[in-house]
Amino acid sequence: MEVIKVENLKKVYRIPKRREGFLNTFKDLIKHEYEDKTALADISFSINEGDIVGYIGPNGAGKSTTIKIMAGILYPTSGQVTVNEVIPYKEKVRNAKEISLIAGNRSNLYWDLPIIDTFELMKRIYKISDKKYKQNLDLLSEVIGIKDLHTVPARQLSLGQRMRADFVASMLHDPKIVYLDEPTIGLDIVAKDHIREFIKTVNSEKRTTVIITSHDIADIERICNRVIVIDYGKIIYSGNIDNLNSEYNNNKCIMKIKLEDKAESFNLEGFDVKQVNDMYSISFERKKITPSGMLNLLLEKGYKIIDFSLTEPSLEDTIKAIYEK
Amino acid sequence: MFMHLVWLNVKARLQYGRSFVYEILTSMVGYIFEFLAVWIIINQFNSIIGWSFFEILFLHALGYFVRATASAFLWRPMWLMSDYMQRGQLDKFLLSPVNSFMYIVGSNFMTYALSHVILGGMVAIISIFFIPIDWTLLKALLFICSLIGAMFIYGGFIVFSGAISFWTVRSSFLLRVLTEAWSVINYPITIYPRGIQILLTFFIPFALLNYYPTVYLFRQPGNSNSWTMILILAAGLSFFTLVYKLWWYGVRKYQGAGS
Repeated sequence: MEVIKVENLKKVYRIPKRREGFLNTFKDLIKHEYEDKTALADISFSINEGDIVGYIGPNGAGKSTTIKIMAGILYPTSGQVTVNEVIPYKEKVRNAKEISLIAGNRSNLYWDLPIIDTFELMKRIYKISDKKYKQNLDLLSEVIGIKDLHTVPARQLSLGQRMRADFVASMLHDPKIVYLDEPTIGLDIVAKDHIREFIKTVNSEKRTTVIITSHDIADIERICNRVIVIDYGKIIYSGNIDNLNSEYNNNKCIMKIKLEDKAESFNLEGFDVKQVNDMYSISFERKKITPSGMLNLLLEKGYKIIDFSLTEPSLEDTIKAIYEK
Repeated sequence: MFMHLVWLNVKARLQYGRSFVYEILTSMVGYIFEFLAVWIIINQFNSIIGWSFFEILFLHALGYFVRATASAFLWRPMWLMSDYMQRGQLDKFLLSPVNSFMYIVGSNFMTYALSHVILGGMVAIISIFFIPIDWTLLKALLFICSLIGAMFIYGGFIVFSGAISFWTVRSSFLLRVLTEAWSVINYPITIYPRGIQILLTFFIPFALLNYYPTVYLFRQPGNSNSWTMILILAAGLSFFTLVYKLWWYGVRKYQGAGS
């Protein structure tokens, strides 16, 4: 079921031109000359309920612009956007009640006060019923692990704890759609894991649609089921995350093996083999033969393998290739 | 929700309990010296164009009271407008399902100003005891009405300086003028030449904050009567509404432009 629909979205910024030169600086003071910067050229995509979408692209590609328009804080130049059957920038309040925007580098918490005070403020702002508030507060605090921190002021929390408190604060009103902007930035490995697990849990329990912008590829890999790639204001790819690698012909696997009998010279017909210390590195295309197929092939040929490792095509390489185009 | 936000701010400030008390003490000391200065001047000149010591004191305190009440709510949020815009922090307020203006204002209540409000109010009330006034219910009501109007006028100027930060990024200049130039009304404006009086009544209407209401209260016959009081209330409400709409116009323009 479609929950977000974006059609032919276009956004052009009018930026005052700053001209070089002494005289021109004065001219700029009196009358600005403007130039048009196209942030979004012609974007279309749709997102289904319950999707966890990785919305990625290089810096300046137009990600924040799209998110802001979907959230209702920015007006598009042309095109249609529907979120939950509501046009976000036209019915701001109605839209705001169903969504949540969490940015990794900005906190919604009151600095000096215990975090429970911020939660109660959210309760009032979103007019959450007492029952639902208590329910959500307990559930979310439990899952994300800040149950014992309610009376601690935000300034005394570590970054990881603050992020978690931010998550709770932003989800108390049961938003149907959550926009995450770099949610794991600056967090340690364990904290990142907790956040990712939290997102997956909420998504599976409440069918919350999540749109996540992150430069951490592991974030995308671990929790997203779909990926939309944007660059220079245009959508470059939109589809399942599994297909992304093959779509970009990134199919190369590398299997390193160690043979029991080292004296043997090792050669495999049709495959590129390199010797690295006492291991052999075999490159092969996943399309041609799967890793398990490769193992079977080696065993059939009678090779005694005492150690091996496998490197699958990495999403990071694919994305790097996309960004570099 | 609005009052809850205000309360949260006060609560946060009170967390630093001791420094809050120090703030109040230092304001009080500042006040005492100011009133001492007034007392000395009046002692020298016996009275200022017929105004006795307590009458001037009342004028003074009332000015503080009106100005501080408006500032407590509006000064800090408007001062932070250009900061918010530059740091992209305005989004959080625009994103909430509540009135963004109220949210920003409520989140930035300036507890410090309360000390001025309380002190100003107290001094004003104490001075009243020393001034012979013909009290009637109507008089009191109209007086309060004009005070409310005056708060909206001063507040309107504050919001105006916050609103223009949507067009020019640095707007603190106007705010500074407001906070520092207003002390001209500490004395009855009739001590100034006619030109300045007109300036202070119609163009930079600070005199509406304390002079006219005071004259109405106990300096009759003067250039203030019951109609003036109502006029001040009306002017305040309509001016504020205009500036409020201007602020929202700025918000919508900001939402079109983005960064």
